[in-house]
Amino acid sequence: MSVTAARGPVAALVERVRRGDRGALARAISAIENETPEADDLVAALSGSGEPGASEPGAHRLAVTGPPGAGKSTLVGQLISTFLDTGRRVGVLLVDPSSPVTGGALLADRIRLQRRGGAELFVRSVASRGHAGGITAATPTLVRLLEAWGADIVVIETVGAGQGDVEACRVADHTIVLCPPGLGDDLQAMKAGLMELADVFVVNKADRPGADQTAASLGRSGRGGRGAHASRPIVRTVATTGDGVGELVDTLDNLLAEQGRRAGSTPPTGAHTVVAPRPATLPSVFDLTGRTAIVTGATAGLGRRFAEVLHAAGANVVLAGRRADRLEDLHRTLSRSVAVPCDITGSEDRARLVVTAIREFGALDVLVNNAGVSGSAVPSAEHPWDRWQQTFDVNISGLFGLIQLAVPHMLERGRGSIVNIASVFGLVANAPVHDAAYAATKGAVVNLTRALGVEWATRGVRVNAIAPGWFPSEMTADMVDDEASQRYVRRYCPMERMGRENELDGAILFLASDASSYCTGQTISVDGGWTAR
Amino acid sequence: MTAPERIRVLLTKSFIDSHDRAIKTIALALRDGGMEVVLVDYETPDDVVGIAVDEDVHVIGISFMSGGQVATTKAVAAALEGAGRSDLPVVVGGTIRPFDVEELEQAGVRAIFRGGERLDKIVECFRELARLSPVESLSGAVGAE
Repeated sequence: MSVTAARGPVAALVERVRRGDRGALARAISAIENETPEADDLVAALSGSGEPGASEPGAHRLAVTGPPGAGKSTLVGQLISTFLDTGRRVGVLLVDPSSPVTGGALLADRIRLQRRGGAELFVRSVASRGHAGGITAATPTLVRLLEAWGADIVVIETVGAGQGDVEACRVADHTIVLCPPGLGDDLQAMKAGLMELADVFVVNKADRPGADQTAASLGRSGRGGRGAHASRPIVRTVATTGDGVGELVDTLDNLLAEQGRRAGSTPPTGAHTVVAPRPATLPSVFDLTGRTAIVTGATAGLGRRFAEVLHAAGANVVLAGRRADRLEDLHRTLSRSVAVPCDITGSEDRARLVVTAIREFGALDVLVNNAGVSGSAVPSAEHPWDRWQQTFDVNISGLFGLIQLAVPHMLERGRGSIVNIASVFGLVANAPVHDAAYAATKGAVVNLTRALGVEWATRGVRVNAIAPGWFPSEMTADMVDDEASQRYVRRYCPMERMGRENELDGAILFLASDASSYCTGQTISVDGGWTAR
Repeated sequence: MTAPERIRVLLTKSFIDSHDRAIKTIALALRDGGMEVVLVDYETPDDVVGIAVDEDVHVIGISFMSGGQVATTKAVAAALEGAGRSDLPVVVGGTIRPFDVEELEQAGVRAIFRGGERLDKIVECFRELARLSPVESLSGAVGAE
C-alpha cells in the first residue's frame, strides 16, 4: 500500500495539531492508538507528504526507564517542572502495562506529576496494549504528533519491566535508566540489554544507603549508550525533593550539544528513521506470535536457522531431526520450543512429531519441510540404487508423509502454511555436478508444491517452496573453503558468491507468515540469480 | 452506536482528599472490565476537564469522600461546557448525601453511586455511557469544529 498525501478532515486535524490545538492532538493520538481507518492518512499528513516544508522540527526525545518502584514517575514529574521553568514546551507519554487477560489497564503514573496541566505541557497516559518492549507499537507516531504540536522535549516513561524496555531507546535520542540503591551488584550492572543502552544512569533515592555502591557498580558497567561510550554520566537524584534534577537536565542538554544540535532542532537521521510511517503495521504481517511451526532437519544448517528466525518472529517452534543432542542444544536457546528427535522416513516418527506439536502448543500453523539429503554426485549411469531410494525416502516420501499428517488439522482450522525446501536443482540441471537422485527429488518437491497448493487453495492452507542456491550447510561444508568449488560458484552464479546464512530469513518469514497470504503453489528461488539466466 | 474498542475512563478525586480506597476499588473493577483507567488527583475543576480532554476519555468519574461534591461537580460541568465538551459524561460517587442528588442531576451528572452498588453494575454503567459517548471518528471531531 502506498502512503498518499492526506486530504480532507485528516489534513485539517493535523493542521489543528500544528496550531497547538490540544483537543485535536488528543483525538489524533486516539486514532493512532486505535488504528482507526484514518490512521494511515494521519501518518501521511504528519510526514508532510505533498506539503513541502511541512515536516516537524524534532524534539529532544528522552526515554526514562528502570525497574518498578525506582521512582520513574516522580523523576519525570521533576524533569517536567524543570523543563517548563526553562521555557520549553513538553510532551509526555506515560506507558503502563495492559492486562493480557482483559486488555484493561490502570494508568496511574500521572498521579505522581506535580504539574497537572498548563498550556506548555501535554501529558498522555498510554496502555501498552500487549506490545512487548516497554512501549506501545504506536509510540513512534505519538512522538511525531507531540512534535507536530510543538513539543521541544518529549519524555517517554516506559512500563518499567527493566531490561525488556529496549525499544524505548530506539525511539529516544537519549535513554535514562534509573537504578535505585540496593537492587543488585556489579553483575546486574554489567548485564547486556537495557543497561547497555543507557546514555545516562540515574541513581535515584540517592539519600538511601548503598547509593555510593550502586554508582560505583554502574561506573564499571562497561561501554554503552549512543556512541558506545566507555564512561557514561551517572547522576544522583532524590526525585521526591528534586535534588540532583538540575544536574540531570544539564547533563542531558550537554549530551544533545555534543551531538551538535539544540533541543527543538531537527534530530539526526538515525533517530528519525525509526519513526517512519506506521512502523508497527509494516512488520505485523510477518508476526508469528502465537503460531506454531514444525521445522524438520533443525539439527544444523538451514533448518536450525529457519527455527531461529521463526522463533524470533514470535512462533512456537517444534524442532525435528535425527540427532537428539543437537536438537537439545538448540531447544535450550529457544524459549518457546520443543525438541522431537525423529526420523521423518518412519511413519511412527512422523506421527509422533505432528501429535507432539499439537499437544504441546495446541495447534499447528506452519510446517517447514527442510530435512533433506543429497544423493550421490556420480555419473547417473552409476548412481547407487540404495542411495537413490534413500534420497527419495527423505526428500519426497518423508516430506509428503508429513504433509499428509499435518494437513487434516490445518484444513479443519482453515489455516496453515506449508513451506517445502526445494533447491535450484529442482528447477535447473546441475551441470557439471551430477546428482540424479537430488535433481529428481527436488524437481518432485517443486511440482508437488504446485499440486498441493492448488488442491487446498480455497481452504486456507497454502503450500509454497523455497529453492535455495548454494548456501553454507553441512551438505556443502566441503565447498566453502575449496577453491575449485568457489570457482564453480563464481562462474555460474551471477552474484559470484554463495548465499549467506541470513539470506533465507526473508523468504522463510514471508512464506510462513500472513505476508504471503495470496501466494500458493509457488517456488521462490533465493540463489543469487542462478536460475535467472 | 457501538462501544469503542477500548474504553478509556478518567477517575479522579481531589488531591487534598486522602480517602483513596473507594476510587482504587472502582479503578480495579473497571480495569478488570477491560477498560483503560487514568487515575489522577485534581487540584481544580479545570484540571479534571484538561486531563479528560488530553487523555481523550469516554467517561469522567469523580470520587468525593470529604465534601464539595455539588460545587465541584457544577464547576466541572461549567468547565466542560467552556471547553466545548459537554458531551463527555460525568458520574460521581462517594459520600453523596440524599439531598445532593437532585442538584447533581441538574448539573448534568449521568450516574450517582452513593455506596452499596454492585461493582459489576457500576462497570456496566461506565460501559453504557462510553457506548453513548460521541465522536469516535476523526471526521466527526473535525466536523464539530
